[in-house]
Amino acid sequence: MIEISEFEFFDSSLWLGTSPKRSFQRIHGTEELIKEMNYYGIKKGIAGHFMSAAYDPIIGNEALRSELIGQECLQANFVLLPPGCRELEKNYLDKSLSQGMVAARLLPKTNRYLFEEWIISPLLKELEIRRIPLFLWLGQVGWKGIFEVCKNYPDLPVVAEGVGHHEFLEARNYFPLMAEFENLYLETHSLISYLALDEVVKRFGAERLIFGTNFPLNDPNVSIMMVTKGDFSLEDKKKIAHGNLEKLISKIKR
Amino acid sequence: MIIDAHAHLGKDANFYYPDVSIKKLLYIMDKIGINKIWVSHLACLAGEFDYGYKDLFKAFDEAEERIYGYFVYNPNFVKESMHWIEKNQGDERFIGIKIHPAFHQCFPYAKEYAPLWGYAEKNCLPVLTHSWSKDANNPKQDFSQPHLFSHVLEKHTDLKLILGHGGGRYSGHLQATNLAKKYKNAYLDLAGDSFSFGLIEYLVKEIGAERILFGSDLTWIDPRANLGRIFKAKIADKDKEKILGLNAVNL
Repeated sequence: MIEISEFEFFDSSLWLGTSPKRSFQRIHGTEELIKEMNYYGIKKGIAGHFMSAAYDPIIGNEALRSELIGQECLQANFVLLPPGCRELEKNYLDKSLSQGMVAARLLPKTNRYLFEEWIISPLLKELEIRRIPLFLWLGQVGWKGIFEVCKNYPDLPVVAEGVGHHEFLEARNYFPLMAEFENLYLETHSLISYLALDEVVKRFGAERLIFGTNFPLNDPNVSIMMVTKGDFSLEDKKKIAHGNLEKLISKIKR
Repeated sequence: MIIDAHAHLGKDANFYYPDVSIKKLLYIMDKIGINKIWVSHLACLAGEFDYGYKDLFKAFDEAEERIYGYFVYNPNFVKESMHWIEKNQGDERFIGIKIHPAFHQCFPYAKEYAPLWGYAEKNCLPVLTHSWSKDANNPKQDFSQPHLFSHVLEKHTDLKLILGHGGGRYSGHLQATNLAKKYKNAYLDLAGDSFSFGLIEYLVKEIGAERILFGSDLTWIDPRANLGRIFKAKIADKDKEKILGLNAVNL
């Protein structure tokens, strides 16, 4: 029997702030989040802020940065915007990296811009140069959007997140994408269709999976048991639990 | 004892299924400690009764006393549905009847469902129904909203009705909870992909653990997902035992 602590879970998909969605249990503040992480056996994590997704990306990112000061087990995922309206200051990426950002999200549907080259290309080029992992919700960009980004920015690590409407049941879309693009990774919290995680490991290797829970929206142990009881080796389980994400972060060019 | 009270055999056209064999199913059940599984066959739900029941009987033989079946009642094929139910009534490998108002696009109060309720009640066969919240992405879910079953629970007080997925999403969970508070013959299962943080704790607090059942929704959803959240739920161990299997045994 392996202790949960041995997996050293590193959660790529945590949230701080107040979710606009109705929920059965809320988490108030960083301390409570960390307490819950400890209960479930999650050693560290990357958090986004609900305010970045529901109110304003820049204000939300700043709230997140401020919440994470002194929290060694948490790092930041900032929501970014394309440069058209010059909402982000010129050195925003480098400044954010120095302030603890280790990943970025784009929410084109929420922020009302087209997910097309003539809008997003300047930003994606900057992310690619710095190898900053880009997390994309399928409900925002669809598998077609994932395809375009992976194709046009081969050095950009793209992490597809199953926040949407059952897109992660669509292996007929993501298997060919995984086969085609080595810069594509799947975040695991929605990879819950029968045998899906085992099958991805078998076909594409454990290296392409990034552990995430979508906590506190989702129950973390859903994602955890999919890994701990996965039908693959302990070495692969540890890669998914923490190794792959650590590797991606280590490759960021600051 | 762990019993998965809401699962399926077979596949449907929507998705890719890596392996739906009984051998693989038993392997996964052993790996995570599921003793028995209650299944309806997806082919039966699709109206292909001959194919579905043939495959189900094959599964019974291959996995003796580990796989149990739900009959399927399809309101669009009442005669065929009742044929299979009546023909096999008394076969102890069947434990109940599965219905899916959303998939079959028929409201629970429709006349097509009328023959089912009295029959199930008289023959002590629990009915497992798909239940879900209103969903803008999938308007067919309107047919399965939990509150639509209140007339059945009111009229058939000895019928045990399992609201599958516990109502689906947040608003459906609230509806299903209210129904279970009002009617003691209403049960909720946790099958599917609604993994809201705090849901299990909320349900236990509101209706008690005795009418909550573990379900996976396999072969759509992996059983490890739903089992995980029960294992770590912040409820008493005795309540976990009830949810994981004892309630199903009692049912």
